[in-house]
Amino acid sequence: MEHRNRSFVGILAVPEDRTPRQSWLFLSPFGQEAIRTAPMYRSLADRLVRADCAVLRFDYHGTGDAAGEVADQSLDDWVDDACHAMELLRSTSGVPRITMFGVGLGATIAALAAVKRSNGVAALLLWEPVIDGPEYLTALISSHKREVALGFDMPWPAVRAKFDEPEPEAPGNLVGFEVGAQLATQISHTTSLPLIELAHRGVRSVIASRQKDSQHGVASHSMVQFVAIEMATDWMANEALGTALVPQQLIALIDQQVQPA
Amino acid sequence: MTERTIHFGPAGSLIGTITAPVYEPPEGSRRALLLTNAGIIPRVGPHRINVTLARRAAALGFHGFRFDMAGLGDSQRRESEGTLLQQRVADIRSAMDQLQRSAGIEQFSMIGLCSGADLAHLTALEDPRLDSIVLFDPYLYRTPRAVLNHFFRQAELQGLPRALVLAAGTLLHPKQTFTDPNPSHGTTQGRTIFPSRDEFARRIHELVQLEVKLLFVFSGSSPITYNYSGQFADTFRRFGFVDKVQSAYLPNCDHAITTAAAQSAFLSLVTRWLESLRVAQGTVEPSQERAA
Repeated sequence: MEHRNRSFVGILAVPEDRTPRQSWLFLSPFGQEAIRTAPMYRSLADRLVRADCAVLRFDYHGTGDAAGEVADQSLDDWVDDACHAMELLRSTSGVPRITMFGVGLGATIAALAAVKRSNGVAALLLWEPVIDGPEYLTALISSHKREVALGFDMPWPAVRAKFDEPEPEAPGNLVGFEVGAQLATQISHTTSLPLIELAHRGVRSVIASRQKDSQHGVASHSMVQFVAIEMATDWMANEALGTALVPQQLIALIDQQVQPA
Repeated sequence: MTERTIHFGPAGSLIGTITAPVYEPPEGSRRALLLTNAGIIPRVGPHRINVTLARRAAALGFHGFRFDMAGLGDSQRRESEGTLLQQRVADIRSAMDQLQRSAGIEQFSMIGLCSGADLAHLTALEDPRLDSIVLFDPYLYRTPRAVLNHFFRQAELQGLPRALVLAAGTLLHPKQTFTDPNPSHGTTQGRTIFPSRDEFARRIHELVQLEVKLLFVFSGSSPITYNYSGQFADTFRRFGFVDKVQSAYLPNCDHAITTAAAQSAFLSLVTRWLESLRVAQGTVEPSQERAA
């Protein structure tokens, strides 16, 4: 896929010998979380294809298999990539309205892209979206320290002293991925999601989150559903290495979306 | 730089991404760098390091081929009568078949990270096309000096009393400290069954006899087991091959190659190794030939 000199790579899975009854666009989270959620994304995509849906999952420019370097990217760039992927999915699947799914920053990108192309969106399913950007950057910094300390089997201050390791910050390397200046700035300015605007345009949103107080920044509306997911997975952690399991509640949510209206 | 994602292998069930070399090497000196999953991490590798490695290889005139083995990343699961290990080795050989068929490549190198190191050396034992491998964090074996270093490290991190308790435990149970994991117990370290020191040495010796170029790289992530430069030589000196292979200890590089410093240290080392392969087979960019 290519637009505006930005090439990116995706995998479109479609039901065999059938016209898909729904189209799903999967939006990846950032960095380490994208690596760790990849098996889950594939597993969910396979499930949806078995339910006669078309699924496009892709790597934004500068990530995964796509060309480019992550340090040069911005949130706006990735939202544009997502919009382009939406157009592509619509034209290849023949389904006019897309359901979008994302985890973490991928969920945020889903909402930001949906508001740009709302007439082509059926619904959003957002798992732990990044609503509070500064809080997310702080979480990345904490995870970086924790993972590096675990990696060397010593406390973070000892790692710093022994290897002259700098304090992590954004922009900079966070959990193994370079957060560029533009991306860091745009994430830090993220404080809400345009879900009410989408609701006014008839787009339903389901937010799945492990904590009930995660409704912070998400105003209430009949078209915005909040679901607590009890299973906690830290996708920034190496511990998530073997996690291909999808919480049962999330599977139920996806199954609800594919039920005939 | 051109990158192309393809299906290959039995019934096209495997998926990989080829990074084409930035210049066409002379006929007969084409080489590809193979990169695959570390554990269950997709073919981009930990922190996308395989993408960087493939692009660096392409800049040096090699094909880079990052691929997912069966059931991992984007590749399909497939029925196999062999063991998982046999299937993994077969997948790597399928990758070589693909590039041999499509690009006429007959010489292959592989950088194996973690479990990839296990697979790289096992494949090289079976297939002469794989003639050079990097083993990052392969099987680890303690030496007396490593035990002593661990004691000093504990004293530094947790204080002398705690370190003395540790030392007392070592003296009371010396066998537990110095005996290698017993392969009959199926010690896996989350990967292939851990071979005895003698068995691993036998394999390395065989690879040396097959003239496979070997670079062993050890991270700083196993300070209890591997903690000083030269430990590889101390571990295997009696087997007579240590001067025929290369080894490096990167104390500031963690197993997942997370920090900027870790990535820089690892990439510098491996890029130098790739350059040495290019020089060895005369695949030098025309401009560099002139400079030389």
